[in-house]
Amino acid sequence: MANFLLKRLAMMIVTMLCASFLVFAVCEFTPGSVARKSLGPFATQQQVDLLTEKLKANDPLPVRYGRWLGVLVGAIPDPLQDPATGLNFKDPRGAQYFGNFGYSTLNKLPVNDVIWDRLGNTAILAGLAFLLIVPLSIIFGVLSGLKEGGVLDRTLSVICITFTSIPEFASGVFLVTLFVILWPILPGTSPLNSDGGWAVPYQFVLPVAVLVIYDFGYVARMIRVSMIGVMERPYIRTAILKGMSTRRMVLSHALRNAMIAPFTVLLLQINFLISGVVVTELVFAYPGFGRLILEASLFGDMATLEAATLITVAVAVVTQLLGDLGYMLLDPRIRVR
Amino acid sequence: MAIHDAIAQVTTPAKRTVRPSWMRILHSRTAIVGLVLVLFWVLAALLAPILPLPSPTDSDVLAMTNPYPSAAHWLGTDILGRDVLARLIFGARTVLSVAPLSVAVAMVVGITIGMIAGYYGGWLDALISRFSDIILAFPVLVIYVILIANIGPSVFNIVIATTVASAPGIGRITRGLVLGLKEQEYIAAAKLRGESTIYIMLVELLPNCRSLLIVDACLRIGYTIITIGILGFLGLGLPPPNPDWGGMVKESVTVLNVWPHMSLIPSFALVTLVLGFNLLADGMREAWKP
Repeated sequence: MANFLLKRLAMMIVTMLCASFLVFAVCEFTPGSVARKSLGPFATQQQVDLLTEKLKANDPLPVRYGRWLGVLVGAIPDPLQDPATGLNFKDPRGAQYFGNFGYSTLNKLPVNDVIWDRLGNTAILAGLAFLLIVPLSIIFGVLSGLKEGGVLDRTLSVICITFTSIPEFASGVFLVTLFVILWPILPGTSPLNSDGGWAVPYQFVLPVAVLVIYDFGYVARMIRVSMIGVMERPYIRTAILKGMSTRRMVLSHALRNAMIAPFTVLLLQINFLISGVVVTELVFAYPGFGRLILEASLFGDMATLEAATLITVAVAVVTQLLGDLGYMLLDPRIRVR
Repeated sequence: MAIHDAIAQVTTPAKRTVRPSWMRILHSRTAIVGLVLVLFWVLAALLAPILPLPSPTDSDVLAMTNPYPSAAHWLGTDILGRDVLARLIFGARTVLSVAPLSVAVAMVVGITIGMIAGYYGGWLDALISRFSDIILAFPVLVIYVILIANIGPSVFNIVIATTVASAPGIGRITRGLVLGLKEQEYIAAAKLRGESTIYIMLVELLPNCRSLLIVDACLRIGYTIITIGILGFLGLGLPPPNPDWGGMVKESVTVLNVWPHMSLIPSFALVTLVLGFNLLADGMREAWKP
């Protein structure tokens, strides 16, 4: 077990290193943009060249990646915070510490000052959506998996397929038209302050609804497949043939076994939700992590983008590991060699 | 499930695997609805130049004060006075050519790497699988946003982004199928009579994977249509004047409280097309179930 965990942890770190290198390679393939982004559009070309020289931003890609990594683990100070650059970029934590994601050229702030609040906001949004997705998809999935091809199954399946066909921006448009414009009972923006006259809890309703609409149908379909598989097993047949009531059969025999496989799917939805929050946060002006990724990549804010993708990949690999561990706990037949 | 179902399950023999037959799909009502939705947009896209439509890019200045649906503009006009119906139908041309093209390229790449990984195994498999894991650890939309923001929005780049984002998933499915198939006797027979590896992959393995892969491709087309719509909505869509549904929503979402039809109509169009592909995929899966 300890061996398995160590191996998985090593794999996770390798995955995160490769992922961060890929993002670095795509964004920094053409060097030198850091200087221009830091100085702003009104700096002269000479100033830009001078700063590029000081930051050694023309070094080969692997060298620059190595330097970024060095800053991150605290081995070397962040070159952007060097007083010699004259940029006046200062991090209250100092220029050299473990977990230094560098300086955001978009926000002109240390990345660590920007990113964690945003991540917290998104965690709340995604967490609320997840709390609704889990029970909804279990109810839909189990009910339609009870009798494959029955009327209930067909109806619920069509409902699920329809909902998974509504991307976040479309359902955002539909819901805002209904509940903000035609029948104004909810706010159309969610800036998480009450300046607009709406209490903060109301501001969560539409963004959460948008996320749930797009995602729950997919999970329900997974649970349905798993439930169908369980319903064909001999022990269910035995339970029915000995006259057990449907309710008792579902609750005590089928449900627990049908939830093993979708457990992983449910955990992987956390990764899927991060995709979803990018659009949702843009639609509702929600100050979250997804919008930060979008803004950073549109502006070319390398430091923020690297930090944000590293965190998303970390979330993905950690949930994958949790999924595997949970799978082992739930299903004693699975043993790791 | 009632008692007689359980008894029937014991007494009926296991169903044999069926070859994917296109006619069987028509037995499923959901598949027919899906097919009708998809064909509606395909026809609209094909007939766009012949249909008596106003130009999708010219502004009707007079309509700008009253952009609501009228006799001249059946679905109204957008904020620049351009005909919404014409933009919708010409937009269908864009989305229905870019999405299937991207998925086709992604399928070719994905199936190739999946075949190689599954058939050869060993270090090749380990290398491909680990690399796929890395790509799959990214949220899909983040891949698209990072790539398109850096290499710029164009049809070619959307094809590249779709391939990067989807090929690992397709590869994983193909690999799983090949792992199950390569131990079959007919593969051993093909090897024994000296067929080349390429022949075994293309003639023996690929046709046996096709039903699942076709269903997957159909789902992926729907998903890619959504992604192209999202990219348009994020301002990373195809450059104007190409009408693009996501871009239409983006342009008009700021005036949603005044003229909601400008955003509602393209959103609704996108949902119907995606729903068509998803229902079709579901119908195929039901019809071809072993």
